Amino acid sequence: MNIIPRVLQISTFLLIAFFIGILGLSIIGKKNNNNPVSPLIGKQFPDYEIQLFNGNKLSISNLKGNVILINFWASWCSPCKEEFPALEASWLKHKDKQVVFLGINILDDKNHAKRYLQTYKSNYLNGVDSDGSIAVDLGVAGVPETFFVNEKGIIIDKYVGPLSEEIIDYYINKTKSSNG
Amino acid sequence: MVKFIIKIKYISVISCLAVSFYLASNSVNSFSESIDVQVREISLHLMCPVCSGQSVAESNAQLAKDMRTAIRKQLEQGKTKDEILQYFVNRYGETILSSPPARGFNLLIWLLPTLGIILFGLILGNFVYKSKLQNKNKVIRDGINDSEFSDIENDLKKYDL
Repeated sequence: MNIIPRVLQISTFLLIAFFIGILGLSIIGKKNNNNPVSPLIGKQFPDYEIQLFNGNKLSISNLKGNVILINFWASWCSPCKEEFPALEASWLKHKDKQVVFLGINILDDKNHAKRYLQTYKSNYLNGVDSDGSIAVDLGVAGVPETFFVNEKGIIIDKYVGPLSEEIIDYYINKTKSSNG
Repeated sequence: MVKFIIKIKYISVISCLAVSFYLASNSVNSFSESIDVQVREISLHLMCPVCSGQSVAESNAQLAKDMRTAIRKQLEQGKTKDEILQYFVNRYGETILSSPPARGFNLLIWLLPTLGIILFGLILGNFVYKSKLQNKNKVIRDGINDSEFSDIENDLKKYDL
């Protein structure tokens, strides 16, 4: 007769333990999810034609053979301003080593973006995705987000958040080593 | 008579043109209406990545608008709802879906409410069982005072019962 409360107690204990376990897993999962993996990693980077701010058009396929860093940004975005000096400094460091930096302005007013580039004196390539179709096609959820593409045009990594020189170096080296 | 026949011919040609124009404009309207409905239906299944708890259909964020445009374009290309949803999953991952598929780790989302109800039932059952047991003991003790009850307990112990 005493077996009933025992079974009830054990079942309750097991279920509570299960709930605590799930809660723990979800907390750990959230902590490790600051830089979520894009489903596009390992896939070919699509060939877009990008309207550059200097008036030219650029086809991504023309950049094959180089490691490409593609950075999505907007003039209103504070983390983009924060990472800008690192991007410029890294570009100067890597520009002669078959590494191309390409900024793509999204979710922005074109005139504000132009003024931003003039203010911050950007020297690497910068273009605009005026209808947001490239951003949606690459699963971009906000700014700044950066893709690292290897010489064969394969997406090696995606970084969400502001970059530092160290982070850029790490991902460029990783992307370069993925070619071999 | 010839003039009359020519007039009738003109009238019938103009009527035919008017009717076909009306039908064509109606079908274009209903096509765009049906596309609008489909865009809304599909975007309700997608979460806006930059909004908190809003679907792509509900959000006014620029990214959500761009996503709706992408859905519209794909519908116009003849893609099905499943193909379009898969397109977004292939880019944003399964977290983009407003109701994740019931498989793998996601299965827990569907199972947890059921398990919660079971847990609540077990705790309630335990509580009810214990309180019934207490009531039963109380009934047994009714009509016996404390000294008599301790005498009975001592006797039981003494005779190892």
